[in-house]
Amino acid sequence: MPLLQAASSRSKTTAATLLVALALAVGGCSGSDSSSPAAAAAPSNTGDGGAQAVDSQVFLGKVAGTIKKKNWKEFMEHHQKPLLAQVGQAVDSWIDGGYVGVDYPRDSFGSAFDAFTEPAKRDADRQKQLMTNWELRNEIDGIEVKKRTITVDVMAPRGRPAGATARVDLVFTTTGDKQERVTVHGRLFLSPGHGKWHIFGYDVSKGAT
Amino acid sequence: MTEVKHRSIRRRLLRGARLATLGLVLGAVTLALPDSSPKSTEFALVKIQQANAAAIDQHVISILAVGSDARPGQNFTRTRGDALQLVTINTETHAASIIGVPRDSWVPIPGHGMDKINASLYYGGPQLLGQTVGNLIGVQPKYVFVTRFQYFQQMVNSIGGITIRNPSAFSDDPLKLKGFRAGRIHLSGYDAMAYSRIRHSLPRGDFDRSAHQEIVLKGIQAKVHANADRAGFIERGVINAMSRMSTNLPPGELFKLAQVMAQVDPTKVRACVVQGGIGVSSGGASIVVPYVSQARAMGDQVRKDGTLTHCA
Repeated sequence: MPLLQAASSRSKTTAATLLVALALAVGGCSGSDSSSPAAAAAPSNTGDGGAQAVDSQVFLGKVAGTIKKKNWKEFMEHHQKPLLAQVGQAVDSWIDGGYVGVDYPRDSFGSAFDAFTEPAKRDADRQKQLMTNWELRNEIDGIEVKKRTITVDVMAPRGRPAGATARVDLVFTTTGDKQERVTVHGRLFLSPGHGKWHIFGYDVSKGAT
Repeated sequence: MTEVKHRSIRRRLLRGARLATLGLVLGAVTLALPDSSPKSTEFALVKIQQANAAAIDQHVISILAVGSDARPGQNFTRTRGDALQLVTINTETHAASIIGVPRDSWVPIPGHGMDKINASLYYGGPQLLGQTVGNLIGVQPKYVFVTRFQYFQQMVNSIGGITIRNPSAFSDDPLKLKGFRAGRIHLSGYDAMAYSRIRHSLPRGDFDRSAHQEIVLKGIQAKVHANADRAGFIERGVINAMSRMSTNLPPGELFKLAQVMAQVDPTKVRACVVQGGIGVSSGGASIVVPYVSQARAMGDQVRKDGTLTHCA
């Protein structure tokens, strides 16, 4: 189990990971408005930051808009893989930048909201106690990830993604003066633009024991 | 020993690209509607072009929700709007307000002189109706959402009905003979339609009816909010709504609107109805002469942060 500890570099590991595509065995099926979750697995990327992050597992959740076979095919063949990659990357940039991909102790979480729209970034920054590991930043020296999954529900009219909800489950423990088990759970809302997916809203809760 | 710290603060936020939101009614629409076919266009969502969009704080989005009295076969965006509710959402605080306007309000309609406010839908479609209501309240809606009552019924049924708190018992001969008892009650789609339309048996007629419409809207929004975290719920709802919608909005904006609506905290929704005097027009029609200063005072509150602290 990798131990994420503060390392020298502060640059973030964008553990944008995607385990692409294995098994969406549903490929040729006639398409349902809600596909059952299927795991996507991808090569992990390696960040150049100090902390060595555990990559998220990214899953495809419910897909709406693909009830016709041709739309399902359009989605699966042309959009599913890049969608999961890009949404995973956006969400991972928050998870890494805000919690588990940075060095501790630290003073700020400057890159946590890089994938957020400007208004969402301002709001998230105001709620940094919730949206980052702010309260523990000076009391821990490392993090161990226990669980890190992203499940992506997609709105894809005619098979073309136009909106997505990323359901996030993150569990990690901390080392140092404060040894806690932290759970971050919630949803991020994303829309596409300029070749990327952007987080325009969220509904997140955090707890620690 | 385990110390449990719980910071369960639920924060959501949306606001993306200041685009807007649809309101409580769209919420109903974005629900899991049955995916039957063939589908007819049952509602319209129109984004209003505004020259003064900067007048409203970027966190605040207003949508005019309109119930059309169109009969089957009629163009429901060119009939009379029977229910008029201006819904404003603060995307930062997830609070909202609803301002109801009696349909018989006698107001100036741009380009058409004085008339009942609901006639502006007939004269100029959603854009003109939005402008007319906006002129009365002092808040121009960014979106106008129009649906016919029949479809409204389907929408409510599709979410399994709603639960409301009815302030006073009432009944109506043709629409609901058994009536509605006071207190916490469940409404089916038909009940919600009847609850929103009954007027003659209410002590304050159109004003009470408008208040009832607001209660129903709040019930719909609460139901949507409660289901929003179900996997694929919003996505499926928007897709189904699109198949029945006439709109000038792209799918991505609809998705954002739906998420904004779903994030509104039901405990932070306050509703008021513009009051007025009863009169008769020069043509002999029964009209409501709205208290414009009161309407403007509500608008002043809403412009600040989207909320109403009092009904003025």
